Amino acid sequence: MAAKTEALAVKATAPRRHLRIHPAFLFLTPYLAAMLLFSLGPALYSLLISFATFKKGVPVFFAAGLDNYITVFKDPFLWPAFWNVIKFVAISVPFGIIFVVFLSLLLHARVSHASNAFRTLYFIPAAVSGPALVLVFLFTLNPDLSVFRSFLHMLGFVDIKEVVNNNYAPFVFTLMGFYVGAGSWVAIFYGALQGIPEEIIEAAIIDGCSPLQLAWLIKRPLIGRYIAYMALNVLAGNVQLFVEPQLMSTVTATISKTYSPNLLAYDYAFKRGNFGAGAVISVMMMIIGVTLAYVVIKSTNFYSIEA
Amino acid sequence: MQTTESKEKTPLQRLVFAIFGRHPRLNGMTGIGEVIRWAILLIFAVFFIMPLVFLLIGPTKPYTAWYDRSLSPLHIGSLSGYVTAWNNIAMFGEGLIGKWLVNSLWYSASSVLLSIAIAIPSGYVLATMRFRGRQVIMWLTLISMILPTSTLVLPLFLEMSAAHLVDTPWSVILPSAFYPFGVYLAYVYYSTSLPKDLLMAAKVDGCNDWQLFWYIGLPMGRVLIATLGFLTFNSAWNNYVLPFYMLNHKELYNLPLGIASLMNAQAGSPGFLRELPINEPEKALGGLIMIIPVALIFVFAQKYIVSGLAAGAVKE
Repeated sequence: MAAKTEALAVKATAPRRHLRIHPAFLFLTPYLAAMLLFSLGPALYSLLISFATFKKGVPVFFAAGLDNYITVFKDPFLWPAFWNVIKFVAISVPFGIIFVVFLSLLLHARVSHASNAFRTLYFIPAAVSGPALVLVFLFTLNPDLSVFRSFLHMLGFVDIKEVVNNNYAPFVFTLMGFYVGAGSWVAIFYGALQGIPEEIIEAAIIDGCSPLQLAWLIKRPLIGRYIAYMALNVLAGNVQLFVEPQLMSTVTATISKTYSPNLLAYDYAFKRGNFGAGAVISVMMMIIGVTLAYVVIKSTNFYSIEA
Repeated sequence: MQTTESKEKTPLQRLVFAIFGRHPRLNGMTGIGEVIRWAILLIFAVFFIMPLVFLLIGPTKPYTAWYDRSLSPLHIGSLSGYVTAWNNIAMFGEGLIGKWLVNSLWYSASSVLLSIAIAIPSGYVLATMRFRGRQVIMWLTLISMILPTSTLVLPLFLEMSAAHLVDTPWSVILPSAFYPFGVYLAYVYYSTSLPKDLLMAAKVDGCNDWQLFWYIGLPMGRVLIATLGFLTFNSAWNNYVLPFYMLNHKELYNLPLGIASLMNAQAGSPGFLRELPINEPEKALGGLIMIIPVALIFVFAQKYIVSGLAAGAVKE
């Protein structure tokens, strides 16, 4: 017993006496190194690059002054790129929420094996991403060969260029995002609905609550914070649109090569060889991204920092 | 009571109740409600599944049949179509597809190991210890977890290019060491499922911090490791944005980049490539090779993955 307390006393004071670094940092060093190398480092480096000129691919730091920023802000493609993303977000966020909540309430209305089977079916497209997703949609939206071609003909489409183009792009990308993401969100919402205590529902029914009132007055407020969580997460993700327009613009040529700000950054860096201007857009998108992430964390209390 | 309840409603309202109603005894239109509910659920199922079914039967028929209006889009050709499509893909760049598969496998395997090995101890420490700087690390983790890859990829490219690592496998594998979502999941997992008393008891028995992690934290994290394994494999296998920026040589491509170059095989390539028989069936097969491994994992491990996704959200 005496030996034990002695050992404890030694343990308690030893780290303070010998080294001032908390042992937690032994575990965290690889992670912090990775964060510095692959997140904070590149972020700061691109801020530096945004003020640099390039001579034969080698950066000359601070040589550009504000030139890169002026180039970007005078670019006639900058505002359209931002406008495209604004349209996409304005459509995709409400669309996603309405249908995900609708489907979750519908599936939860009567819990059965069938609703579990539907949930699994809805979840499978989560496995489709990047080029495979674009491929699936280039087939599905092509009135010549789509599995839904009679439906597309009914809507009056005869050529893929009438479906996949700059005008319809916000809807096309919304549909693609919904196709991939809806299943996961339905699973999350369904889980949240199942978390509502049975007593609350029973009490509501005894008090004369109708099924619709039950869905709207009892279930919806209880999953309300999930709605905010989904809205902000989808928003934060969709603002950074890149892969879908990039691939579609190379395959169909009816989608602009500078459709979104991230695509414009790519265009500056690799098509026009102006890394400085590309970095300017990256810095802008980082500021937007970090701000949105901060709002997500602050306004939904989903992410807890204290255990 | 049931009848008075439904008497006050218009037929339309009663129908809506019947569709959403959890307790059918409360209204008189259960039958119709159930039919409509099923119809809506089926329409969505068709939307989610039919494009994939179509992709699955795509390689069975020659591309002329794809455009044949007299055939149903769901017309199934013969299984030998798969062999033909595969042989045609294999001709692309003299067997590039094999290299892409091998690259994808080893890039993904290394990324999975690297990200899990780093994320688990970090999450464990953030959950079990209190120290200066912890808040800052949590905030940086949360923010970078919400920030999508496409935001940081150009800066990352500029950095890799300064380090002369562009167009090497390292430029694709090393960044996966930073996996904030994994750290957060590990943190949530350990702060909810690791009893504090157990750690205290072991500490009293003379375990040091490393032994606590190695003998208690790690063995208790099996479910966590499985969940992280699924999630990291999925994102590494489907990784497109990063390799798209980093890799130039077709021999270094992973599967997603390779599939993308198959998709462009006709559209933007110089004349001689147009002679290659890369058409719809070949593209569909390429897409399937990319989708099927992940889809299988998803169907069989749905519970783990959803619990992982929800853990990012739910903290009770």
